[in-house]
Amino acid sequence: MTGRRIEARDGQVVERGQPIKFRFDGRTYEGYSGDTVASALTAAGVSILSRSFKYHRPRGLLCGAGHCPNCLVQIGDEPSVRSCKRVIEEGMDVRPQNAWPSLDNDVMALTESISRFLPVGFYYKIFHRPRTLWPAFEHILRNAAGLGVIDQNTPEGDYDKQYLHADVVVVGGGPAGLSAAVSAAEAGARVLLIDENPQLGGHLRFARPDSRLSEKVADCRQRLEQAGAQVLTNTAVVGWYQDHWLSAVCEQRLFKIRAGAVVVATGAFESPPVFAGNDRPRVLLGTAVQRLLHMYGVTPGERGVVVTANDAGWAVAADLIAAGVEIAALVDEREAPMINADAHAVQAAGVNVLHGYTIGAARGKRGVEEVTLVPTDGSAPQHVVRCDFVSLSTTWVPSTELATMAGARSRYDDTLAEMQLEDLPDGLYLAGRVTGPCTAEQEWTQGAAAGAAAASGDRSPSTDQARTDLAPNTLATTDLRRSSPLVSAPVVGSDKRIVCFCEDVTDTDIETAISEGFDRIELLKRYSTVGMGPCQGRMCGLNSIRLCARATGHSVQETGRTTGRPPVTPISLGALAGQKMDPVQLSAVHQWHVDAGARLMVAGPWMRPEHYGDPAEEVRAVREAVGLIDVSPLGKLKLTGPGVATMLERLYVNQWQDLGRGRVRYGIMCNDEGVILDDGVCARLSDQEWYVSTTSTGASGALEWMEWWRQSGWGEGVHITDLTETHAAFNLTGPLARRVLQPITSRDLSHRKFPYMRARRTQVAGVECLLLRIGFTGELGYEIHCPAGYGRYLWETLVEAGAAHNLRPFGVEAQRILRLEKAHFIVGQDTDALTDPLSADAPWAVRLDKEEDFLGRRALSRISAEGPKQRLVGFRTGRRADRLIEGLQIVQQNDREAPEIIGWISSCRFSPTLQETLGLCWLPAELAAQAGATFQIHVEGGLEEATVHHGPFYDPEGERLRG
Amino acid sequence: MATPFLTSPLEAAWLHLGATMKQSDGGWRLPASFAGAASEMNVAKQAVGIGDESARGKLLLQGDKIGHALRQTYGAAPGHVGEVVRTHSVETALLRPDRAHVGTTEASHMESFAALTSSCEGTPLTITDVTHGRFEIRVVGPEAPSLLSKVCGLDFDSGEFPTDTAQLTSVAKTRQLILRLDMGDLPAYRLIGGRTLGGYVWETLMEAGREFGAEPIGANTLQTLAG
Repeated sequence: MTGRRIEARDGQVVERGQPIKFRFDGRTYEGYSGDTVASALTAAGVSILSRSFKYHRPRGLLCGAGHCPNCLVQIGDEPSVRSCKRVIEEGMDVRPQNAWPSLDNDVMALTESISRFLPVGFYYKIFHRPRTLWPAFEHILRNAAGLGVIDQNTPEGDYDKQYLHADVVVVGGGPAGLSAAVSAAEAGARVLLIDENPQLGGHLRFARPDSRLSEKVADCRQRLEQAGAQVLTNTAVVGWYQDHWLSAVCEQRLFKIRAGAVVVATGAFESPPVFAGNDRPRVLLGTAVQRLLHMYGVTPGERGVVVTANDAGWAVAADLIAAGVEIAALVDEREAPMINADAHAVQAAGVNVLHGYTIGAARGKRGVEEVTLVPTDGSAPQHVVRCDFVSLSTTWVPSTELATMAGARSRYDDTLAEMQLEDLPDGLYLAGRVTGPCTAEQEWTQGAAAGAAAASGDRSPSTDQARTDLAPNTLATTDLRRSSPLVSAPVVGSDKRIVCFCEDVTDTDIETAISEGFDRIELLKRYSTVGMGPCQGRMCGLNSIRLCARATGHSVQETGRTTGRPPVTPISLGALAGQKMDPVQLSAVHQWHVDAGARLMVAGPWMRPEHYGDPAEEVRAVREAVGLIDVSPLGKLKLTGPGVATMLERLYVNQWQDLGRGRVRYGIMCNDEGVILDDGVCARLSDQEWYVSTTSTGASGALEWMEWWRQSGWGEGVHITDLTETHAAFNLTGPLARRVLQPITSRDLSHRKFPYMRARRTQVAGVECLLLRIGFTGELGYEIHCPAGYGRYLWETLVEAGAAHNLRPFGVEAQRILRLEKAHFIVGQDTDALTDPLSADAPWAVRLDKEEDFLGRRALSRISAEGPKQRLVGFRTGRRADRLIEGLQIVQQNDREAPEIIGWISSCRFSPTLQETLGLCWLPAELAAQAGATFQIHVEGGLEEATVHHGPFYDPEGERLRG
Repeated sequence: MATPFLTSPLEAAWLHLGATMKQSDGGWRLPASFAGAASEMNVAKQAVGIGDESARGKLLLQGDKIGHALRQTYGAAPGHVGEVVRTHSVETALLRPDRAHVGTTEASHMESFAALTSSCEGTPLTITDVTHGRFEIRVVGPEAPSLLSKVCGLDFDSGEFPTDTAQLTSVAKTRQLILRLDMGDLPAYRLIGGRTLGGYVWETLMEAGREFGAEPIGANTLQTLAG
């Protein structure tokens, strides 16, 4: 380590006994435990930490607070890490970003030499012609500017979220925030105190150590703990939303916080003035210097110049002197001489003090080598001073982002030369430096008052008045003015005068943009990108507004400010995405399917077996012997009450009043436009109890639809209970199904006793079940519904009982083929959001003549009268045609060159039973009506022929399922 | 033919965690223990234990006069939505003015169903046994509120969500009923949701609870905690 370290003192966060090695830009460095990357590198004498976005200018530590973009680095696969905030770890590999081949010798720094050809908004004006070359230009430009590299192979991070609730949330753990939190907590409120730093104390953490204040902070912590307040450190509140809904991020966790009231004690931060070379490495804000000195025990250089417009700069100078650093000059914009302890220290050290001066330029290749000090009014001579760093303490900006998101208005105070907040929304309180300049004592007092008011929860006018009294305009003290009214320093030399450090926008760029007509602050921001980088305007916000005001001749207040939106500080997309929560529904037999080697597929919200190895064999098993499929995902609703039949009449296009007990009927549910919503079978179990099944993926929608109409008055005395998850359901189907089932049930399953489309309650293998004799596959079939807890047992029992009959479990794929051989459509597969049952070849289901009015009647009556224009119809090919897949277009070759699209295939499979490819398709009604008519299907590289087929392909008379 | 047995929707999850299994008198296969009674008790008292109570009886009562039926059957009924009344081995929670959840022990489940059915005879009420359609997970321990705050937006503070209350809510993007039924001094919650999502919810809770020292606890420990 070099000699940049000062002796260990109270308040420092580094552990001198624990050295840590890490790498930066290919070299190994050593720091101490607790050091940030930036503090360790500064201690090691490294001044360049990054390269700027556009011109690749060398950049070094500026704010030291995680606000500016100057110290962004890549750590491992994580880009744009603020090195002033990231603590070093043993072996950490830190790489510079936006520089090649190295940080010190970046080839792209040549960009600056052609910067006059790259004015503000250049990408809107050049490289656009010839048009064909723009993609190439865009590629080059995007590679030339950037903020690190994203490794797309990076594994998903371990992100999550947590909800928090509090009566009072205090944002900011400085003196005002601590005081507010203690006050609110001791008043009985549930308090949550949040601070973005690892330790509480706010600016006290990096100010000159003061044991009295340290004790006060420790006392607050203790009192908060005693009062049961929750404290979150290292956590940044990044957004305010309606009704005090806050978002905050701590590393990889997103907090969603509901607050009764919010105390904003976010403090203020320094912002750099505009002068030539203001972005040179070793030009630092005064608070960054203090952080280095008091937190890490590091000096920024050996001989510095302190530039100030307030008392804080004098304190920095005194601290530097105390640390043994030579101060070459101290310039104060103010004319009046300083009289306090810091001024005494500065004078005692023999520092050259210039009043009425500011900095005009900083020069140096890799850092600061000399500065030009200029009189603010141009009435005195300039001075050139050699130094190796500059400390700036000229402007403070209140952290008003959260308050303005909440609806507080900003007003520029010309006297204080800073933005002030007014018109605070209900439940929002301010305290401390965010309100404006204030003394340390005022911070504690304001905090206590704000905390008490927030805890009271009183929104009465008197409380509002109290809250207004806390507002800055009454508390801010002009004597304590902390910000320079100077818009920019007098021009010295030709070096760039950076306004926006993130985007390399200069004051000249601002003036150019305004001269081009972008003379409103919002337009100016969008055109020049000022304030749109990682610092989100923290370094440039006030400067750009003032420059805009000066160039347009408006006041700063008239110029206004841009709208602040969440997030206040950059956060990772992973934190926003949060924990991966992907609910998937599993049937009671899921583990059996897995153990049996089923290939699983996602079907809506469910995970289902697609097949168990060979779907064609599964189809053959069903056609020739017996198969078993888990159909638990089917929607299953119990409807009870005297009005069920009437309600079903209104919701379905079929007739229901005439359905007898123990009978089952297929039904189609439409909306008021006659569009098919769902289908399934309904069984009448008793006069007032019905069992309704829906499609698997439409179950929740169908339930919601029914419940909506029930609550709208259509279900007099009807109760709907969703049994989808309560019952497991299996379809035992195939010519041998009865032989498998009969031995394990006492009920007579003969066709005479239990015919087709009937429902029976019975015990199967000792379990109470509901059996539905239906035939989606076209074979004899029993749908067995049992309490889901018995699902695994019953499934295993059926498999065991079927072993002697070559029972084979089958999956969704085989079921699709089986139903296709019977030409049954699937809602959602063969129908879309415009399909009506008349067009879908199901006119037999629609009872336009039934007594009860029903949803879709009017639309279906019209379609019936006019006739459908398109119809769903079967097609066959007479051969195996593997090129035919769902979604292909059916075309008709006309005289014109391009064939006309006349339809499309909605379902298509090779039938192992019929040994040909067949399916369902949509055709013009005229063509669809002609059984045996041929048509052409467009496939890649040619056409395939198919013929129209009416009715089921397999067992058209339905003898097998009635067997 | 084998004797009918009942499986919990969480069976695969707890078998994966090495649970020893037992079969209840009613035929449910349950996780008897994971890490031993002493260890599990310690987890529940110091951190947060997560247990499978899916075998408990769950009845859904619908209709306009459910309060009357509940009082007639159990002698008491919740007076307002969200209230839970504990009587003997039964907990009744009013979910909305015309809907109540009745939770019973596994042993008293059928008896309770029969009694309620008898009370409701001739009334326009619908009683459905939804035991098989819902999982039931117990989350118990001082860290239980913290764990749940990672998967649910409710305020689990005792003042906002006191014991003997219930809320219908979203947990890890699934719809669930949460009953807060403290076990002595320990905050304890019952999460009741759709059976088919049980495995997912269990694993999500285990994952969310890792930082709070969450561990699975078996039926034996739950029984001891219940006193």
